[in-house]
Amino acid sequence: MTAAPVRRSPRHNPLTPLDVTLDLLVKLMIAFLLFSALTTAFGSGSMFGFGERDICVRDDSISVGSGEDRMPSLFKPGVAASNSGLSLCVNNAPLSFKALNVATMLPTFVLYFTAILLLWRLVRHARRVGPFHLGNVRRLQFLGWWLAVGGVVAKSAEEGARRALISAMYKDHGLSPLSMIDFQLSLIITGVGLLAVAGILRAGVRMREDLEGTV
Amino acid sequence: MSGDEHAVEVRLDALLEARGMTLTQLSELVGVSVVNLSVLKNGRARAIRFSTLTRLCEALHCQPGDLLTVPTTDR
Repeated sequence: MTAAPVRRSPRHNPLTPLDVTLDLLVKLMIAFLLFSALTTAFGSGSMFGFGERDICVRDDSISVGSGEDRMPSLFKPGVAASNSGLSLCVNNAPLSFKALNVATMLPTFVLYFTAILLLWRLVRHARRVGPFHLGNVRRLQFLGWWLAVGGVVAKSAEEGARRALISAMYKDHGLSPLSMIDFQLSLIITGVGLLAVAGILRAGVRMREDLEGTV
Repeated sequence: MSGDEHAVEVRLDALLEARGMTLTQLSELVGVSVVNLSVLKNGRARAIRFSTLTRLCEALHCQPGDLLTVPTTDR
């Protein structure tokens, strides 16, 4: 066998800087979450809408008046100003409003926080067993699917909650399920890219196995 | 047969016995570790280099076909 596993000290492992950075990032995020949770529970803080008494949401689908004659002369000639969009607020909002408000922020945080945890798990595993391992392929694939699918699910959930919240503030306002579908293209492209890299890594794992089995 | 499956049999055991040689002696002659020769002998190797095959054949005074065989199957 020619390609026996090379033992390297941790300081020579090229994945060490990334692992240390992610480790620090995860710890900071957990500390921030704990701090925010404590200030929300025992103080006046708020976290992802939790702890907020007044709920505000912006409805961009509506405009009130042209505003041309009331608009102060702040702008240079040729600049058009629009006052489209309404900011809707409810003081001492009921629980249902608070829940919808939380749902307009939480999914994206869960998506990104979990993605960082998955990346951290991948890097730790790759650092321990080496880059060409099927476990890394599976972890990378899972991260790719998480971002690609999560980019649609989280954005749609947030848009649905936002529209439901707006709808709940009007006396008579329809809610179309199709209008709730939203996505973040950059996340989908990133996710699909990671799936492609996972496929390439799988080929690398096979080549590595062949090399290790060559006498 | 598909993928990485193969039916190649390595007859290193029989050749060593016929030459009255041990794996350690062969290892010293060809410059391949005993561990790697053992992997080859037990059929766990996935491939063999031409250079290794040449040295093995020189040390054992044989042809590659004496070392590697594929059993014929009746269809």
